[in-house]
Amino acid sequence: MEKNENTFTEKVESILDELFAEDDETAETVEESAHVGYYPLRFLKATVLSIDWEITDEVMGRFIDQVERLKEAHQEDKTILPLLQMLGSTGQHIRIFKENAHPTALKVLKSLYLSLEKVMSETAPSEVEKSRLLFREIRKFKALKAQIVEGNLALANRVKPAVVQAASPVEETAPVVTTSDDGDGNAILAAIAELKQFVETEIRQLREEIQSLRTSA
Amino acid sequence: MAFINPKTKEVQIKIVYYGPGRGGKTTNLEYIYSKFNHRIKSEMVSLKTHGDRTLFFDFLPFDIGKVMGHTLKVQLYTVPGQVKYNATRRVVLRGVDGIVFVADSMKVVREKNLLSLKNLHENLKDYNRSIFRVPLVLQYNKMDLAEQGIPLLSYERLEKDLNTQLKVPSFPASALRGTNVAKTLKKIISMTLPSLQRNLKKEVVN
Repeated sequence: MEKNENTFTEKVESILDELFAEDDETAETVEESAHVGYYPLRFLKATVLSIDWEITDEVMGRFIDQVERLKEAHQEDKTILPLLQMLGSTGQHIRIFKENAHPTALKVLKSLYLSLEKVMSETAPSEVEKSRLLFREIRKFKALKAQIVEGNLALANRVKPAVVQAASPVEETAPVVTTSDDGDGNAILAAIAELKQFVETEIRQLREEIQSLRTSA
Repeated sequence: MAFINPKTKEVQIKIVYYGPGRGGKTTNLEYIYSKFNHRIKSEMVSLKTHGDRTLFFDFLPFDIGKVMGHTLKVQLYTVPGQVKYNATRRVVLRGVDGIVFVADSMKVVREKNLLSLKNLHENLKDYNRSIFRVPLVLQYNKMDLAEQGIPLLSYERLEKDLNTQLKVPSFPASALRGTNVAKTLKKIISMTLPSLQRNLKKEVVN
């Protein structure tokens, strides 16, 4: 009986070992992209990683400062400067909207940073490759800009003009969900209530955004 | 308890990645998906907020093969880590077979780890499950940040904080780089096997 149990466990474990063996080149790629090799970007990289955990004014302020400093140092470079400019603009968007920034903004920012790291590395790519990299990033950046504008317009068409209410954090406005009854139905209802609350807050914040754009236009 | 479908001869093992917000639960799944997709051949489903945070959950299902005449299917879930989404976390925990608690090694979020573990304990109690009996693995994530000069909690400190009573397997890890991500996953699946085997035997007898 014990032997059977061992055989079962051993069999599954051997399948798992095969399935999740880490012997291909993907590991190298991951390591490579996380490698901090070029000193001038070390602080910027640390800040980009910080953005991943917490988007605060302090972190974003530090990010913008570092980008500005690098821009001054690379004013003549036709690849590095535009990359830094796009990094700066994307950073500003995230700084203003924080957790409500466009979902792809963080991805674009990271992609821009990784391209910058490649271009500025000791083994920099050829000029042709640099241009290709730059155009790819420009395309992503433009797509992000278009998505932000499109999202705002779509919402403006959908949402009826309404009195803009002051945004309040979800935590404060969330309805108190009774969970004393452990039934699955109640748990699902509570989860849906959270979801609903979230969507309402997002719409409220977007309304404010549209309103502020209208006022400034 | 693993879900066994006697008609289709399928067994589903549900693993949930739990932990504080921004701790790296989704990154664990993303790494598994990007690195092993050519073998597990699956699709990952994510529902995120504007700020790239997990709103409902991430879901990554895959088959691990046939054992005892049954196809073993593993389903990986993450829960939203933000405090306000507790009802969602509770729903995702329903019927869980194994849990990976992804703790954040950064000193500044020490308290969030403790609160999240307490929250897991309470949510499991709602299903009459004990955190001491559910297969559980602790993963101390973001260890790579030491290179950036970020103050981290030591492995010993994390063990003392989170694992003194639980005494479960634990791994220092970097989900971003993949360090110990696969090891964590293999461990938690292995830990669900004894109970799965018992249930399969019952199924065969019936």
